Amino acid sequence: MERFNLKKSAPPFALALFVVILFPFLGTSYGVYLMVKIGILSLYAIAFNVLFGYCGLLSFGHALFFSGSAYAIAISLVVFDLPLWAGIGIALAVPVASSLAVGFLSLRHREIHFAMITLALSMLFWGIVVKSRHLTGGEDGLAGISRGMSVKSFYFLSYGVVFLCAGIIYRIVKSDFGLLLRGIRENEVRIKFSGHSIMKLRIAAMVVSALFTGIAGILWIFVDGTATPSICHWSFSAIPVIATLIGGPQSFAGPVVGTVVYVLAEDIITKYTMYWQVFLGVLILAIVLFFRGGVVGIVMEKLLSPAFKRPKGGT
Amino acid sequence: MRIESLIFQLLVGISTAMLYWIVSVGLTFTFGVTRVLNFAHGSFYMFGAYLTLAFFTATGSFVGSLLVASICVGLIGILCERGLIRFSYALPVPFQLVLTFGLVLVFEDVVRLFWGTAPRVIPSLGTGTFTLMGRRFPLYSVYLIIIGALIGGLLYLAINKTKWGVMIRAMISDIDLAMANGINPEVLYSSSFFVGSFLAGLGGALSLPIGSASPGMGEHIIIYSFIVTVMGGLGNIKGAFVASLIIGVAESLGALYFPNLTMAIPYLILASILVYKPEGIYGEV
Amino acid sequence: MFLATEKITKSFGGLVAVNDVSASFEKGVITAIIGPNGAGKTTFVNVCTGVFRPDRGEVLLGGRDVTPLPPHEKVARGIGRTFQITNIFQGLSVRENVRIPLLSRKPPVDVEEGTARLLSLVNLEGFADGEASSLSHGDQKLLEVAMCLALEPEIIFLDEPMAGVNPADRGRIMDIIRDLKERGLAVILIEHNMDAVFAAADRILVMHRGSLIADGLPEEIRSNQEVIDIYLGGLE
Repeated sequence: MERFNLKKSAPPFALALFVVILFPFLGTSYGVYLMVKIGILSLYAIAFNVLFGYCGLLSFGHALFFSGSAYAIAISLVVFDLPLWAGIGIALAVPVASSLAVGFLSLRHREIHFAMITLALSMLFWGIVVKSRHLTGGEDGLAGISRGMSVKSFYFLSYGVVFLCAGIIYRIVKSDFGLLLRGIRENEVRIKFSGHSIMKLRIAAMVVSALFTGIAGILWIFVDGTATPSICHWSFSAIPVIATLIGGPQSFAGPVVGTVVYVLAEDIITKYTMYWQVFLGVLILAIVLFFRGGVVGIVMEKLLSPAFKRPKGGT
Repeated sequence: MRIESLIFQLLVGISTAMLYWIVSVGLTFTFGVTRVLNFAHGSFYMFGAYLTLAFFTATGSFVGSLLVASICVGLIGILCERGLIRFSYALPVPFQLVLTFGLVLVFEDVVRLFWGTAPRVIPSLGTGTFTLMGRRFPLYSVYLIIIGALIGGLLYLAINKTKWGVMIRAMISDIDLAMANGINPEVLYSSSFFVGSFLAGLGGALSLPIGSASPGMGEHIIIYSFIVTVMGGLGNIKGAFVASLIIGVAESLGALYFPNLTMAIPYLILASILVYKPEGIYGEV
Repeated sequence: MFLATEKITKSFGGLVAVNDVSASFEKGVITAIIGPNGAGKTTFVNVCTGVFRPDRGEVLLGGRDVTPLPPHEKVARGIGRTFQITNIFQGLSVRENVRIPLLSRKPPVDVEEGTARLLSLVNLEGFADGEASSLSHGDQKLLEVAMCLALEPEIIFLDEPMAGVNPADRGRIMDIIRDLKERGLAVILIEHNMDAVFAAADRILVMHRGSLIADGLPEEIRSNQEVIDIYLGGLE
């Protein structure tokens, strides 16, 4: 997975593209709706995994960046009646600024701080959103955000953005910058003695991760035309964590595979029971204890040559 | 008038701080021994509240229900440690966190399944009030402060004056050396989980008379515990005490002077401490 | 005088690991630091390279105080080091290992060209795409040296470069050390292998229980009674 390998990367990519292009012509309208969600949440998970898979940093507060952008654009459009481009501009600036602040507070010492502080700060944002009724509509959220196009057009627009962003992230993690991030995960001391500042590299990774998470958040607003506090809550931060674990953090496609499984499983299980978290929890326990490579890891191990095997684990 | 409300807020602040302290010292102690940060600590707090409520409904004795419930939660803690968490000791930190997060999801739904989603309150215990400078103060706050101090004293004795405490300290300072000297870490891991979970359960039980039991209560307290333990220095008991006091009192006084900022106060304090001392008040680099 | 330390003291708890050590290192000179285990050699290197801050004293580079700088900034000012326990990116390829330090160079250098040059310097071109963990111990040590050289240091600390290396590879490492001296680097060699020390070093510092007890030419050290006593004492 480390270097670009056309033979290995092309088939799954082509398959994904094929499914995405054909789907709106074959699927039901609910199916198309679900597919849009899968696409956006996949981008969310890929962006999250820049930190988790490549830096070994587990963020439990990515909802902050997702909902920060989402609310930024929703408030710009609904409350202040700004033009779309201005809303998007603000919504891109918000995750960059907030990730710099969060990164500065959380990245200086133990990595375990990172999970705790990201969680705490994202929940602070949740609290602010719920309390600031005049701006955010509180628990009810903001509604009436128009996407100004048909569902199908939005489908193709959002998938265009998702593929473009995924491509950029792919280039970033396969670049020398990605190499340095893997270097930190391998051996922090040697990275320092190679003349690199770990803090700067991690902050940079954090900004990249937050920015693309924010883009996913912007798209999300137009799916239902509403912004509700549920996207600020820590359970929304858990989505990319769980999806990435299901799919496998050690490969670029892992978070995407995991998101597909996650969204479909949620859709199916919640039809039968309201206690879907139990299933999710048990699934997580099973993955952590027995299948740390995730779906992609298992497929690689079972189907492909042992040469692909890598040491597992994040740190 | 002003001085009375100040004293009132101080009393409320310190007593809330004791609640934070009891719960977060459990979290930080278990972390100190096992090096696992337990997300499900908040769920244990929630279990403490619900179980106490259940026992209280059956028996009518708050103190008895509270003790039995806390011991039950301690045992649930051991069960989780032996059954699941111990398999993660050798794993990278992110996997440990996610594992305990999986437990949170399961436990939240278990509570919803048994007790529903509506908040439940305990009938008034009639703990009464006392009058000072012409203003009535709740006696329960005083009880909380006494219990908090008691917990601190007992922990101090357990860690510094018992054989168990010696072994715990030996293991925290050098696990290999401790094992070479015949200390069995498994027993200590489990017992530290018992102590930590017991304290979480106790905190949940003690929160009942000033709050309610709801499926979201674990989430609120775990975030506060994180703030307290990061602020005080992860794994540091004294730090947890000082940080709890700071947060509890600041929140309570903040409600008096900056009512609009109350919610943000703990986070602002956390952020300013992290800027000047990223490792926490008593933390080591 | 290129790098100098002024009365450096560093203690851990009650143990004074480095006690009031003042020393200086010249360019184009191989200076060996010897001493029994626990003499404080590695701690001294750690203070010089920025792993620890000393309790007291200063590290001066070209006359300027660099004591509080973190490792990555000391590296940027020309202080490189290898570690007692080989410190490379085990899970990355040999090529990537050399790439990483080259990427921190300011102003930026031609990374491809630099990688090729360094790999040929240590004769690892043939293993460039293999995982670093698959190299022999000696080759890993050489890779680590190459990674230091990627930063074009003016001073390099080598912490026991011969430890656990087979005799054939030792020769290659010695050749490279001499080559570093020829290039005008200040080389500081921490080593237990006395044959290697007396064969290569131009100057020897002897540390004992945290203090510097002797500083001189190899022949002076060889006949220094205190040093002989300590080494014999260390064997008891």
